[in-house]
Amino acid sequence: MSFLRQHKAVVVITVIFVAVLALMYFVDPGTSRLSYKCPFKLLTGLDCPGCGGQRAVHAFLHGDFIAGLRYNPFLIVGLIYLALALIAQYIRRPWAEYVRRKFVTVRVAYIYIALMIVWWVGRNLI
Amino acid sequence: MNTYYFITPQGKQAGPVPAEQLKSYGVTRKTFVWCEGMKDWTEAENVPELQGIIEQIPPQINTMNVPPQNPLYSGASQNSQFMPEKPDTYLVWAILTTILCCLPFGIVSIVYAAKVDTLYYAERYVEAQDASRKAKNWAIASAATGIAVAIIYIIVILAAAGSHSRFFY
Repeated sequence: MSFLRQHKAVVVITVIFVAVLALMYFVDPGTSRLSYKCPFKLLTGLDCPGCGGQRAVHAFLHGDFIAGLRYNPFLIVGLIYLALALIAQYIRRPWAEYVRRKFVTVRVAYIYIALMIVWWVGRNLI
Repeated sequence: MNTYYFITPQGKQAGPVPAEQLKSYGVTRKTFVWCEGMKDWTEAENVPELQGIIEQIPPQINTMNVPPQNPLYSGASQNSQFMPEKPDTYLVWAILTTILCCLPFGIVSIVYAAKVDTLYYAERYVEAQDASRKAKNWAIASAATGIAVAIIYIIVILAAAGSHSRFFY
């Protein structure tokens, strides 16, 4: 109980996270009108770094990992990293401490942004 | 309570910060502070409004009760008195908003998180505290913008669906 009270933000975010994942599990972006159309794609016709993300997560949640990675490998890897970073933030274990010290750093954040730009440009060229 | 300016150990003016936060900025009883309406810089312990706050800060070591020091080290000891805890960088939240919303605000937050580290290790504690606050605010702004955009999007979709059904009937 005291854990819940101390980390309200984590609880709220976990609930939102699970709700969004459930939504993405049940809504098939290929056929449903509910799925989110990317404003960047609507305006420019180009892919943004997150385009294909819904299809990727939908496929991934249904166990089709290869299709998921094909739709948007960058976002899948990013989300797994994010989940690890969030879990490590609130666990007092040696491995969590190691993840925080080595992987939740400004350097990794900058590398992520650089890779995102490369991915953004690259996917529209190929 | 008023907001106060204060003099850092490096001799620079900093602030203004709310009186309740002075402690977290490393202000001691002997730090000179000033707020609007005061004639001159005054030691924090001599400002009536700050009495309640000053009582929460440990008093400085009275040199009269301490054995005489080697004068070579006295300078160093004076500096090490002022060393607050490293402020939070809120980096996880900056990364979270950057990955989930691909918003530029998340990147601003990451930049401020980087500044917290560099400023802290350069012993510029006041500025580090300030960068920490900005990192937090930009992460919140980024998340809020992402949620606002999602809500607007849902409203637009619902409105479009509504007009569709009228079109069909």
